[in-house]
Amino acid sequence: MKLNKRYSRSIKSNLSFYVSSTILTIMTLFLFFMMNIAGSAIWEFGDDFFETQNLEHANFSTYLPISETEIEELEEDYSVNLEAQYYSNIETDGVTARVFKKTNEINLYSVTEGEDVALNDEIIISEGYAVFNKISLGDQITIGDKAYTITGFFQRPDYLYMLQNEGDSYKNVTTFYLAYVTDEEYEHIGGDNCMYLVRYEEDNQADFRKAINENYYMRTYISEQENMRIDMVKMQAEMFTAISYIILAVMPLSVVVLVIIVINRKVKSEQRLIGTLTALGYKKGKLMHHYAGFAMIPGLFGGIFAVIFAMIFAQPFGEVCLADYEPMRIECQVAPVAAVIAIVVPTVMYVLAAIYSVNKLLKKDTVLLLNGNSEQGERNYKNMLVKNKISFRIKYAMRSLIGNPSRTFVVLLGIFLGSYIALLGYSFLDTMDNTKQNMVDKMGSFEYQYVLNELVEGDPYGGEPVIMSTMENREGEQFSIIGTTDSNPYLQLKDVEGNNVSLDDGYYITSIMAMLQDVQTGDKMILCNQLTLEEFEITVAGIIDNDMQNALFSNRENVANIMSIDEDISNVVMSDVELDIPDSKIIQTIKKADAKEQFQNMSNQMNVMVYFLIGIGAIICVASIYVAVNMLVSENRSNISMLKVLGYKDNQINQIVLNVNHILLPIGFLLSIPLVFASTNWFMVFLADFIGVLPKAYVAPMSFIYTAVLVCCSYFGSLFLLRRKVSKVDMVESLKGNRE
Amino acid sequence: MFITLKNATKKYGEGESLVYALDHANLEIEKGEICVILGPSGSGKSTLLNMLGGLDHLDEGEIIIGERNLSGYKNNKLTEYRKEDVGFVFQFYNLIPDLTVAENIEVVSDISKNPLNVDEVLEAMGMEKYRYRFPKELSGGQQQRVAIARAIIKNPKLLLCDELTGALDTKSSKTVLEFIEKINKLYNTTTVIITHNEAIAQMADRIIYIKDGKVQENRINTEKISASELEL
Repeated sequence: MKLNKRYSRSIKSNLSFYVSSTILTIMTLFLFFMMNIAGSAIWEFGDDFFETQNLEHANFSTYLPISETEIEELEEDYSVNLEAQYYSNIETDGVTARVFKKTNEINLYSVTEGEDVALNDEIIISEGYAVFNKISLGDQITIGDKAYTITGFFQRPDYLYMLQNEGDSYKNVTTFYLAYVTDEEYEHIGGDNCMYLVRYEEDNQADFRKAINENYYMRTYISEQENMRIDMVKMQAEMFTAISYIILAVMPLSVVVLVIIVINRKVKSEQRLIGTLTALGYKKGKLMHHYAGFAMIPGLFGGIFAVIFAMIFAQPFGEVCLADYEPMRIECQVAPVAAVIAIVVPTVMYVLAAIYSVNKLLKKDTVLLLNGNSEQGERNYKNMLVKNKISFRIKYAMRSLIGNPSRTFVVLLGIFLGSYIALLGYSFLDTMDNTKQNMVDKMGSFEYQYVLNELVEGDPYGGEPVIMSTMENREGEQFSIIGTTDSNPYLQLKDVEGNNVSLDDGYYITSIMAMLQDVQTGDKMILCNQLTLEEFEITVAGIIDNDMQNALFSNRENVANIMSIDEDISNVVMSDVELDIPDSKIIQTIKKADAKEQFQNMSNQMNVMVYFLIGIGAIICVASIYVAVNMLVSENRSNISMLKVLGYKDNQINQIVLNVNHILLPIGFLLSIPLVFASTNWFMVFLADFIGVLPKAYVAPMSFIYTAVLVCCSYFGSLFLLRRKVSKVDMVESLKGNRE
Repeated sequence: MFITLKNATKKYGEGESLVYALDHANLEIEKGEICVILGPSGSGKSTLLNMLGGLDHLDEGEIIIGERNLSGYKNNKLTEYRKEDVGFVFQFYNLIPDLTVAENIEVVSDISKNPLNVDEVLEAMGMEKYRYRFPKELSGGQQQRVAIARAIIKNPKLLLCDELTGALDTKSSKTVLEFIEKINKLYNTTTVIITHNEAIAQMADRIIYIKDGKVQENRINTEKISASELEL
């Protein structure tokens, strides 16, 4: 079709539209790809690594040791894989080495660089520590008083997130590492710590655990799901995947709508040509085909470039996002199906938009099209303010905004999208920060919580003694049960309405527990003792306003009864000052500062992603506003030209034509706020499943200001770029104009 | 003389495609005159109007309008000149479609130093009762009257009309020309009308013929008739 010779010429003259629409398409798809690919890659790596290295399903310790023969019997009786894991913690010059005895079946290590040990003076160490401390193969490392030659680096499936202790909140690769030596050398070192690793082959966990408790007295039991060293990896993958779906739900859809509107307007702006071609005998199909060609450009090129950029940047992005983990060999690749969808979907949508627009136009009278009057008879808002005495500039601005709803919508959408993306990034950070600063206090006013390895009567160490234990529901989801008195000065419990509660009235659960377990006041719950698996049925007396602890509270009598101990006995002490309790009597010390640090660490882990979001938000804002205002300039060329002829200076024309959208800037920004809160809350509810805490969406005042500044800079930057376009409009266009 | 063109030259293209839109053109027009410039298509009429209106620059020669020598003017000075001294009327009216009749006129009065009263001008143009109408709600002749009102609201020294009756029927054309004549008398506005309709020349004080970018004839019309007597 000869008509298609217009393509290159028309595209050249409207290059900025095609470039900015393509950039918008690229950015939204790219943003989705980055998050989704990183999430999928971590999932895939985790699944594969956990499978090949036979990740434990749980680990436990017992008061009585289990012999090799007994292990074999248990394996046979309960169809499980059970293995003892011996290890030794050796501190040398302030650095702790956890030296493991090799296991044969469960939690197998993988040598990621170099070779496994062969000689007694050789050692392999965890890779994260080696990378952080710039240790090379062949270097010497001293444990105790013996120096070893490093022959390799390794990873273990249960230590991808390197927590030194299970209660720690943040990785330690500075003063802690894992190591393997030869079996002979391990015997020489003499590891005396033992835990048991188990993999279930049948759905008989409860029977197995009961048997272990009856025969060997269970001391600790941690399932794979409750082990933060393992679960952090899954959480990271889930986090990326969740964000990618939040983005998918808002961004590509919005951008497609935005570009479709612009295409629609562009087709309409060519109504005279379409009318002329119709008059010349061009059929509808040919015209649709012709305009579909224009429309497919941003979709096709946007999709292709998004895929190319994703292929280039997905790997480094994924690796940067996993900087807090052991160096996982993730492979961030664009799935062929996703690539095809990314290219086809926007292209088809844009083409359909063009076909729809042409079809709609061709239903109009050809004479109307030839005169450029296709909108005749349509409802318009020009008559507003006709008899009002306000300046024509204000009237012009209002009619331009209200009389061109699709154009106004495009500008608004651009501002909204930029604000949404940037503010969403800040919201994630601020929510974590706010949780750290304010919500942690919902746990109670204590500063220290000592978990004792003995049961004490009264308060021999000072502080406020309480009874605390870990329980499970029938699905294995763990939570704390806390027995205390209403007079506990560190726990002033209030219900969600803000009323004080009395623990003598029964069993109260925290608001986060109510959400996670879908339980309400008056519901019955089954509690399982985590060690004995003994079951208790309780009725929920009320919900305590506490989104920080997945916990159940009651008076000492009730909890002591569940734990089968005397109600005067306690195992935890709360205090607002550090107490003088011998280390040998303490299993764990929980400081409120540690809980705050945990949120700081989560915030740190989000940093890369957040700044990535903010950067992309700014680009999307500039591109979408540029597309929208570009449309405004194109559609106002005649007016601009006329104003120039009449003696208006460029800056005066900008005020009349371009600045009409200023009002949309605060509106778009304000509209993004509720959606940001909704998205953040949705994300936090999702996160709560993993971390047992439900942070409330919060955006700091400074973040509003930063986002507003960012969006304003993007907006005015786009206008600044378009001022050149206004100044390029030729005055002679008016003289040649052919309008009625 | 109010308008003086000395060796005004404007070229387009180069080499074999070089075209002289104005070829060393010379002319003079007195203040307060109605001057009709005639010529066939491509003769350089529109280029001449662009130059007189400060829409374009000459390649050679001089244009002096009143006390202004436009030849040395940069774009911002030309903008100032158009804003203060020139009113334009175009063949296709070029009104802003989203503004009413009165608002279209206010677009110019808003930036003028000493604009005329909008109501008075509307009344003079017989458009008072249409002040709240939008351009699309008016006939071609009515739109052109609004365009004239817009042009004269600033009380310009020079009124430039480019084929102002080209899109109108005979009756409307005559009405519009009567208004031009009326304005000329009322405000003593020097008026340049570019047209290829020779009948219009009869209402002119001065008639200029232009062909191939050169002024062929510049004469005083001794047989001037009023616009109402024109037979278009």
